[in-house]
Amino acid sequence: MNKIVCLLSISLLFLIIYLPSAQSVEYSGGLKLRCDYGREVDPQSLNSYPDNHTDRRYFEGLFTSDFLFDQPRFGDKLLISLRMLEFQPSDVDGYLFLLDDERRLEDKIYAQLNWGNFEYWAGDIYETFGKGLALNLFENRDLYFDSGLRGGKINYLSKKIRFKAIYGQARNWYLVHRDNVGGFNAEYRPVEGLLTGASLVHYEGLSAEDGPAYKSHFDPEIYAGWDFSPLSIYAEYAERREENFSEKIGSGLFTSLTTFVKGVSAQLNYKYYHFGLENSFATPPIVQREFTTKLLSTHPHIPLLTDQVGYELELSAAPHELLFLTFNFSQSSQHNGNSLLPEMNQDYAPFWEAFLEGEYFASPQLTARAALGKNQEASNNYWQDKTGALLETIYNIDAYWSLTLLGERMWTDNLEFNEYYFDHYAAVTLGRAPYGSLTFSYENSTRESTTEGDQWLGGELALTIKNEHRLTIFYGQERGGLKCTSGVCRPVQPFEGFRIGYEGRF
Amino acid sequence: MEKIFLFTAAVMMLAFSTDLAYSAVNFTLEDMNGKIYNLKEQLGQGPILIDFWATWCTPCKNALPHLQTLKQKYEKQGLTVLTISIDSPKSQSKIKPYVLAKKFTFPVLLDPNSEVLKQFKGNSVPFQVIIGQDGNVIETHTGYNPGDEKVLEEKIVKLLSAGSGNE
Repeated sequence: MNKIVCLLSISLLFLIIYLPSAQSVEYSGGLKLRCDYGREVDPQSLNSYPDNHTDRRYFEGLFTSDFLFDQPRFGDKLLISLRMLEFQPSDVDGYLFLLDDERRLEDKIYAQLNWGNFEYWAGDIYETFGKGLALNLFENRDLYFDSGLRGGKINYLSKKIRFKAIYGQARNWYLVHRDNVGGFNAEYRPVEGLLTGASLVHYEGLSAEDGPAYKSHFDPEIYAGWDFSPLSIYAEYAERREENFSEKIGSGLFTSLTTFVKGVSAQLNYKYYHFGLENSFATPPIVQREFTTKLLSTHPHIPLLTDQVGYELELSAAPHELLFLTFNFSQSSQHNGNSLLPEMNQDYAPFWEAFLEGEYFASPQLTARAALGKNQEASNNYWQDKTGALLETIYNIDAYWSLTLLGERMWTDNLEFNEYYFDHYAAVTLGRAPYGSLTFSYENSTRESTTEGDQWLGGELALTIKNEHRLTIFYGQERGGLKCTSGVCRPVQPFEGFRIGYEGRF
Repeated sequence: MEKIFLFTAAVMMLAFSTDLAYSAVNFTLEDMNGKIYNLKEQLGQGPILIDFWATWCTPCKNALPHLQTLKQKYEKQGLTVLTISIDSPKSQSKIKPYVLAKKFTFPVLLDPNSEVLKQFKGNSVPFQVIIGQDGNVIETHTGYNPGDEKVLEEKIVKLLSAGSGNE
């Protein structure tokens, strides 16, 4: 959809119909700033650490403006939201994530009209159908990822029926192609606890790199859930089909079983993804724990979501009122024929992980958290073994002051490079509610690396001013690694210098 | 870039000099059991405390038991506590086991694209919003440090004792 046409349409809608008749118009705004000033590792450099550094200058300013119209001529409430983003990535990020000049100034605008059971949206929009096997649009600034569309959507919501329709165009972005995306989703709840749903999404690739025969496909899906206490079950099945609908490219199945008996909650999730074609607008559940300890989570296993089979079991319980335990086990691999279970043979990129975490509320002043995780994965036919341990204590000095101590250790045994090394992370935080906190962190590694160094020391001051305004100042060194959210990951380069951040609302 | 800085600095100065008070945008979200919640339907009883969190966020999880305490303590006096998880579909399945095992009784709504979080101009979690019974956003707060819950309780008590929930 043409950007100018979209903006003009919204402006006309706003000016001609609603503004003269609205009973009141309210304004609210938000501002977020981030500025990095220092040096970062340049992965293209041929030099070894620390001569592989280059200057890092990063600026991001995000300004949000909302106009809320009460009781317009048609509808209950109308929201016009404008978002302006001035974005200047560092040179390294610029070439790593193809952030050319065109992408350094983002403007987003949307209008949302609530009218009875209907919601109408026009402009920059996001949506999720079911658990995201056919459609999941989201934005994450930290990952330079934005699968949002510029277009429109309509939602109808009632106690038994829910209907959504969406159409728009995505813009070229890191890992996101310029596609036309349209679809609808309907849900029906005949009785309380029972859910049935179906979606159909159409994708039409417009990126130049897709060539003259650009990709185009349909993703139909069905899902159902039944909550009959203490058991609830959910299943979602989606297919990826060629443009003419007759040929199946691939399919995916996600199921979940949850129960809560005698103080123990248990959940078993299962995935069988064989989509055949990557689609950044559909990100199904990952079925593994994405966040365990800081060190394990920044060295994650990245599943190939187009070709995965696996399961995950999570148990949570409070055996004593002062103790809370969580245990998670997951196993996955790529497909070995039509096998319904993961294959632990190295040829199929297998992965398994066990994680146990306990929280102990020793007294109103003292809380302790301990965790132990172990995982193994095979990459390039070699096993890599990681074990992580964490201990954290939070001590409330008085009603407002607190001291948090965190220590982590990770053991890594990498047979591919014949490496065995340790990583350590320690952090001390002094907090004063509600004004802020001061954190010092230290990380080191015994790994012999020519690119990232072996120790990182930093300090961060976070200040909250009048609740609505938060200022953070970081100075020091920060280790790189992978940053992942919702299965989308990007490499972050080691950095040293200043980082100043501000966010506020008014 | 300098112009942007100057512009934003001016806006910040303006912001510091004004109090927050604007109408909350109505939202409709499903809870983790599929029940539909509408903000408009929650208004009128008293102040509403909304807490945005995620299962992968440790400070968020540290704050949740205090929200449960606030709910139990002040629910009869008119306080409504709503929590909204921004977990994506990938981690959404972790919510229910966690909430059940922790015996939390507040509703947990799902905002997988962070759309509602953005509408309240939140950028990260934990993020709390206090809404008066007339639907005005009275205060927002980002982050959690131990002790924040005491400050929050003081504000809620003040709102409840004021009766209208609008101060």
